[in-house]
Amino acid sequence: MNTAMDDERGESPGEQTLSFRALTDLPPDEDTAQVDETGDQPPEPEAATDEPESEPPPEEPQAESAPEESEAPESAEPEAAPEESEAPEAAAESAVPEAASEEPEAEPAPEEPEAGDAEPEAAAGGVLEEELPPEAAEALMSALGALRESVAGLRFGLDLPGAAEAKQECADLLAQLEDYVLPRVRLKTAPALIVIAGSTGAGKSTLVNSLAERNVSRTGVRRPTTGVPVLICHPDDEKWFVEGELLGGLRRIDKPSSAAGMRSLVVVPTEKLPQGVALLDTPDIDSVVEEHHEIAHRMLDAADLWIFVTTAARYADAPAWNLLRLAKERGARLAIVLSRVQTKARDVVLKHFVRMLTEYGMGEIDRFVISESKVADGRLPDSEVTDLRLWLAELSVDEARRALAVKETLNGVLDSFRTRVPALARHLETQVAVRGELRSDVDAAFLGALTEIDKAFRSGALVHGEVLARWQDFSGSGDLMRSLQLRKRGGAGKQDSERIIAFRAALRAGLESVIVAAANRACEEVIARWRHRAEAGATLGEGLDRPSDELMRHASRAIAAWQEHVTELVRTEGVAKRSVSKLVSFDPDSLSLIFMVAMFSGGRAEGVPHRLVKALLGAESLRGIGAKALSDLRARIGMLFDEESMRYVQALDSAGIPDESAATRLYQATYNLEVAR
Amino acid sequence: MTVVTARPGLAPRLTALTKVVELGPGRLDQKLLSDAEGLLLLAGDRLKLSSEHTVVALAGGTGSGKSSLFNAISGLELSPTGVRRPTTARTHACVWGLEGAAPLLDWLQIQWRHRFARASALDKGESQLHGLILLDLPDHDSIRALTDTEADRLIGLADLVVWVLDPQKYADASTHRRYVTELAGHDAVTVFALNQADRLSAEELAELVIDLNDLLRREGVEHPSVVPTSAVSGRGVESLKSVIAGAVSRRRAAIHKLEADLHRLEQRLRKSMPVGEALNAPATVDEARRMGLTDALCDAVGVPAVGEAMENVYAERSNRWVGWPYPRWVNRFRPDPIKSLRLEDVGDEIRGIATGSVSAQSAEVTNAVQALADGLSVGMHPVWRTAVHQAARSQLSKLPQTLTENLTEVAPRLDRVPGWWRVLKVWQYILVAALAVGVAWLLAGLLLPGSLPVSLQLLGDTAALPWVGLMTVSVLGLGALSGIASRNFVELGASRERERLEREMRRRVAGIAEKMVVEPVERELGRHHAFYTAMRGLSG
Repeated sequence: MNTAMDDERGESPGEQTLSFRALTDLPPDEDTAQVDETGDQPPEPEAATDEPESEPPPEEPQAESAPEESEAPESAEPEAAPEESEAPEAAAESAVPEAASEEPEAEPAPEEPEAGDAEPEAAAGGVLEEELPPEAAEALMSALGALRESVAGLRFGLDLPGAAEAKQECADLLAQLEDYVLPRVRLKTAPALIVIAGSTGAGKSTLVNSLAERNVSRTGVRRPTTGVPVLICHPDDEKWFVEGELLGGLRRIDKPSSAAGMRSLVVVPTEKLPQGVALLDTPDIDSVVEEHHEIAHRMLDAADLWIFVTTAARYADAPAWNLLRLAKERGARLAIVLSRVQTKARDVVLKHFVRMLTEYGMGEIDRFVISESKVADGRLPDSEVTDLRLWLAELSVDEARRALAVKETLNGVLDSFRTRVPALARHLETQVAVRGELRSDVDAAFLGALTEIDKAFRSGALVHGEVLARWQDFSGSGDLMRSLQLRKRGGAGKQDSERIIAFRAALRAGLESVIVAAANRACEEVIARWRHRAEAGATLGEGLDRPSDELMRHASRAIAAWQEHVTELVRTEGVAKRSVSKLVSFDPDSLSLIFMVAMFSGGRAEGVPHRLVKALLGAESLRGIGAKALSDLRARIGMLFDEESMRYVQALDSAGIPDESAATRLYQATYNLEVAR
Repeated sequence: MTVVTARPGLAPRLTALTKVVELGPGRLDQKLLSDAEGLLLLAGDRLKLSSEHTVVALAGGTGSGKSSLFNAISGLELSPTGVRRPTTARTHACVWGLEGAAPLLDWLQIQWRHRFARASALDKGESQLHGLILLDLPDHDSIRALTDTEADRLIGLADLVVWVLDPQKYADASTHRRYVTELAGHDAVTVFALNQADRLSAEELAELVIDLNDLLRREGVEHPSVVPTSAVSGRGVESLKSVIAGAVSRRRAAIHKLEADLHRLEQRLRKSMPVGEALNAPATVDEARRMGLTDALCDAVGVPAVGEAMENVYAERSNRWVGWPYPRWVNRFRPDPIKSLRLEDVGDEIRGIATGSVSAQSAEVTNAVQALADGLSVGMHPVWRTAVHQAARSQLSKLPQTLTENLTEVAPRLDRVPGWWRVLKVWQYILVAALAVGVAWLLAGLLLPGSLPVSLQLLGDTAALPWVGLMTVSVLGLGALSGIASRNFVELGASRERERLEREMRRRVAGIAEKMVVEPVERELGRHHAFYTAMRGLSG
């Protein structure tokens, strides 16, 4: 810190040193200065009434650590300013109360004799150092790093309401962390970046050119004019901006060119700008070129101070007020420039604008008025920008105040993380919750399908149609009786009769149709539920409103296998009652068919097939086989349905929804950040 | 819907839109539908109201000088101008030729105290503006406009919109994104006045006009009409007036505006429901699909299986009536498994199973209907596909029951015994009796030739015995033959009966399918077709 200041001093031109001295000289005489101010200067009370609007905030926190500094900035700035430009007349001209009130203070400052620089400098350094003990800074850095990590990997796969905003917010957060917060925390001594933002045609570039006293940014009648942001700074600060991490994502170039593209930044050094402050001319916030809005907002996210430029024709525009609202939300340090004010309308417009600002709770913000005047060669007459120059010089000179402004904005940004990150986490949770809901929809639908199939089994709905006809055929044509006498006729390995084959096929077709119908309904239900749940569900479910083409094939294979299994069960486990086996033998194929009919006839225990198989197999073994056959069938159908529901799960997964832990990580990172601060 | 017939082009398109709106509910996006309804209403209202008047609205951002231009055109200080933003909060109207304008102004909801009239008689040289209703709108881009949709509403209603732009704000997103891009295609009824031209040098103005033209073209305004004006110096006001006067005297602006609105809506409709191949979709259920459905439903009922079962069961049962009795008798001596299981009652019931009852398997019925709907709705918009499915399923819950009931009426009675079976049974018993007689004769003739009573001497005639033996064997053979023959007859009859049965069942299934599935589906297909025909009709 100290070394940095020393360096600055060593390199800075005379006026800079002088002005610095003026600041550093102050503290020893602080008491007298105060006495002077309060006692001798009549305008001072006015300053006290007008000034507090903008001044107190920076002062109060400082007062705790270095009370002697509190008055210094005010008295120092006028001193510095006149040396750079002809401030007094400009200030007198201006109707802005701030400038008017500052003017009188110019007197006490020059009187101050040169004193040792050491102590105040140390004091100033102390202020900054105290804010940033190494361990704390390290903790803060690691907390911010963790936050960046957890924000970087976020995905919002479901197209829910708010997802686009969340994505944007996520990108914004990340950009702000990388462009601004991390570099800023790492090096608090870096020059303050002042971003000039505002409507198209408000004269941002003209303002920058006028302050730089050369044409660094293109001006013109075409709207929007500026596409590539232009940064001007003192040559000593150039290194920091060219090589620094601030706005690290943007390519540095020397001069604006149409080929530069949106992702670049022009850095122009100029002696006309005081040290320690850099101005950034941004694209507009409200023209038809929407990329400009995005860049402008990204710049604002990286700003230490905002200068908001609007015009007499525009000050009631909705986009302008959106920007002011944003500044308020972020707690950013702000100054407002109202330009292109016609002289005759000045009072009316200004009064109205101030009233609007006051109603909005921004009445205390630094304001500058620039009259509508002839713009020569892309620049305003120097007199119009004197106030602003003064203000900048004041910032440049007053290290502590600048640091405070920087810190305030940084704090505002860090504060905003307190709500922005949890908001992101909340949306993430919504995504996860919706994903869970969509997932449970799938499960519920297929569970419903299984229940439906069970019901069909139990209600005997299966023994209808062809199955019923085949069963009648089988029993009525005597095959049933014949199958009971097989052994007497001798000859195992006899070919199944056509009737048995047809009967078996009919049973299989019946079962298949029940499964397919249930799967159809389940798929439709999933889609209906998804559509009902969220717009995103409808898009996800596209092309999934029918079961897969393989279902039919798989179902038929599964049922054939099940039938084999039942036959096998009947053959191996269905050892007939001993009393029966002496008398009758049976064909396991036929018996398994009868058994299936008995099984699907539902609970009607008095039914013929049921009694027949019971008599043949015995109640015990019938129950065993029945339970096994049924659970086997259920398992097979369950597998089929699992396969089907996997398609939905895959669709969900492919959408890219983070897991629950991402939200928790965000909360944790926010908490850690708070702790680290 | 009153459509003035004297305006060809618009009327049939509006009729088509009416049709779209009528068929749209449940199919079209709610927002789109309400916009379409809104346009119909707007068109109806506007066409009913004075066609002698042209509503021209001055729209633009705050501070671009709408009111100043309004005053410059009207030549009176009617609308307050000022430096405070926003200045105008309520719409002002100035009418050239008051006759018949009042209902129009009422419709536009212009307050009485903001209406002004220019009696054309007093204004020489302004006769070409007769019929003009000039509106000075509030801005659309200030923070006040966030809660006030007045400008929005009137921009939608005006016949001709003059966008008042100024050098500072001419490229604002609030104007271009919200309106100009949205209203692309409204070229004929949109004029851009580049106001405050006095603030620029001649070169700057020329550059700016070129830039604005480029910008507008990029946004889809094919032929932008840009008029540089200055309300302060009066420059360009006359040319703007003449542009307006041209529109007013042609009296076509209202029609052009509605056509442009319709075009715009049509684009959105087409985007949401592309006509594309939709009109190639079947409007009716063709014969092949009907057949397919009937086949599938017949399978669900098991028609072929029922026929087969009937055939088999008849053959089996007829054996007991018309078959050769001897094998049957022999079989009786075989052990009956049912009896040995002590399940005699089950044996009866097994015979009772084959009652010939018919029923439909509901899952298969569902799948059959689903397959029909799937086939028909291939390539349709998802909304319509769902609609076709719903139509197909509208009576699905009752369908299996109806099929079952209806087909049970024609189901074969498998326990039926035809008369000729009984006759043949008697015949078989007669043959058995004949055999018995023959055997008795042979026995008597061979064993007791002498001891027969006189009355039975004939039996003892040894010469006749071979003949008797032959006869006896023949009777046996005859029994077997007639058994086989009648079985064949039974089978023949059964297969004929089966054919008749299947035909009858198919006929009934087809009838039910027609009534409960095909008809509702065809209604929906018709609706689909009518909707897309109307969609095509929109473009006129």
